[in-house]
Amino acid sequence: MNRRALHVPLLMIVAIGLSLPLGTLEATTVNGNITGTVHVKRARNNGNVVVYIDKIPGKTFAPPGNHPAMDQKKMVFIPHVLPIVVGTTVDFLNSDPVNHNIFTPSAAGDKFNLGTWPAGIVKTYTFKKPGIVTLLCNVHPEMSAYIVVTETPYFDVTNSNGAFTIRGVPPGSYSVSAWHERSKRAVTQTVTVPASGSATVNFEL
Amino acid sequence: MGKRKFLLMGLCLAAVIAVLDNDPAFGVPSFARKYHTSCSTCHIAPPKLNGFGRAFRNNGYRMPGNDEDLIKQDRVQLGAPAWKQVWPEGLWPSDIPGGTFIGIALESNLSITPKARVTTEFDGIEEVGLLLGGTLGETFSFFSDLELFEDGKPGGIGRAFVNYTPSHQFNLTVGMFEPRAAPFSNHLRLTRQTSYLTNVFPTVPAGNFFGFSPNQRGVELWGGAEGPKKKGGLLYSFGVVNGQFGGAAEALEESPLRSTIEEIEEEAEEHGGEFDVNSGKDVYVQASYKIGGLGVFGGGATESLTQTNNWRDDSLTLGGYYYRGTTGAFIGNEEEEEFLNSGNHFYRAGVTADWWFKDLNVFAAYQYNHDRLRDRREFNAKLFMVEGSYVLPWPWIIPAVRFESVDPSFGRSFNRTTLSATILLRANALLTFDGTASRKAPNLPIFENQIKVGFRVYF
Repeated sequence: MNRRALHVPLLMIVAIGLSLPLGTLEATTVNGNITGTVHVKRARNNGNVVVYIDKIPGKTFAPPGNHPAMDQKKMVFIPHVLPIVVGTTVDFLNSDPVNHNIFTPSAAGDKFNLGTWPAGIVKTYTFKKPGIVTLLCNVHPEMSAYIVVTETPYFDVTNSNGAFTIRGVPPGSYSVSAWHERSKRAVTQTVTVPASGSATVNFEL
Repeated sequence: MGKRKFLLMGLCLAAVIAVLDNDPAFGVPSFARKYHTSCSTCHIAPPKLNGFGRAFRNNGYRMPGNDEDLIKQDRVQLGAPAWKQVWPEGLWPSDIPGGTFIGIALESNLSITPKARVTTEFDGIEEVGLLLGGTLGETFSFFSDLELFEDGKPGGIGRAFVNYTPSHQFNLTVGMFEPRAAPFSNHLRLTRQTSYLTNVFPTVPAGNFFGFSPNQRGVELWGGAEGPKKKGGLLYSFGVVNGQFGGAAEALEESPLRSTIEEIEEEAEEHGGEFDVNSGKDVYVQASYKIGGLGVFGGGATESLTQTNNWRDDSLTLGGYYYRGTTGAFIGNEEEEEFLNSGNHFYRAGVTADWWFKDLNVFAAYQYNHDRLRDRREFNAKLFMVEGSYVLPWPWIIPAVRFESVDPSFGRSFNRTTLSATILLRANALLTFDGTASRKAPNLPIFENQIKVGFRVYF
């Protein structure tokens, strides 16, 4: 084969490569994690802190198709803290042999009141505003829970030692916040996730 | 009743003093349970408080700093904290102790009085006390000591009060409490055999049995602020109380003055009054400033509950107090005597100093007592007290010595010395040795030198 004949296959390969969609190129980027620990003053332990990435300009995220659940069992909300992305519909269960109620005094939840219902019935609510939604039971005042409505799906809840891991975060610089029910407002820091690997950030609340 | 009987009562001054002993001595086991910590965290030897214990008390019976971190006992929620967001459309939330908040104190003594008719006497279990203490929500706390059984008889309430402590600057106490105007707390003393004379000394010829201890009933506003770098600081108090007897009348039930006191009370009732409570309330103010040492609210305290050398709090606290009261009195001469509900306007004023240096603590008080009856008769007394204690290298042995002098205008001056040694068998079990000797005291059996060996346990 002469040199002129070789040029044609090479040109074809380059043309094919240039025509590949960018998404295919992106698929080769490795998402990282944001890990760290949170210490909460005046709390029995460092658990139930929601650590989340704040709103990313120009990006919106669709809520998940499956509904996360919050149960009421043995006179306790389970989980005590539930982070969700805005637009998510939450299923509220009653697994106790008594009636329970759920209402919120929070503006982020439009101060809804789902009423009082017995075991076995599931009620739902779609959270359309970002913010902290406090849940209370009108029948059992010792019960409380929190739903943290975020604008990104990147969040985690700390364990009792304060450790968290936010997974699958694309490389970039983000505003990351930590919130605990005892803190008056969330604490925010800027975190940069490298092209490959993880970033670490710690919080003191 | 005439003045003569009061003069006779004056001679029995010694009897009054001698029986005004032994306010209950309590540590608070309920706090040990709440925080799963030893009595020695707050007490040098129960009931005497170390600097951390005083800060704990000033914080409304909460640990300085991170109280939540240190609580080991579950509480019963009276509404989740989130109900604060519902208020005023709902109740403000609170909590109550989830476990037992009651402690028990047992005390047994052996008294040795060489010149008494009965020279040696065991009292068995001389006292069974209940001690209640705890917090309610974020800003309320309660405290009470009840004498279930004392000297073979049912006892009564020593103190019972509720604190509202929303801030360091302004706090409120309501109930039956020992006023903070007392120069030093009689309930928290290390030398157990005798009460502080400054706290209980009555003006017998005026019929005034007022005393700071064991309690007064009323309201007390108190607070303070920590000093620079969270060291030391200011404490103040202002109170309005009934001004009833300081336990003197009850203490005299078994004394030769019993019938006299009863006569006085009967005559007071015939005249339409109560001898010890009237419409005119007593008021007092007190302030002190601590130089150096732990902050008065615990500033500078470490996160952990230290056990070694935790009695050290190098500091000097200077204070002053003024208590003004009104009580009933018989006015006029023997032929034209009348009882007036507000027949005696009196005051107690004094200064205090409390010095802590390494293992040594020395505190002193000078107090001036003044009673002025409506018929212009006046009775005064100057009182001085100094007490020192030292924690030995073996910290379970604490010797102490107290010296008191009284110079009344209506009787002979005298002084009293008390030697004491406390041995901590355990953090909650103590052996105490106290010896009292008086000089120039009236020649009465009650003033004879005495040694007392005691055992106390708290649980």
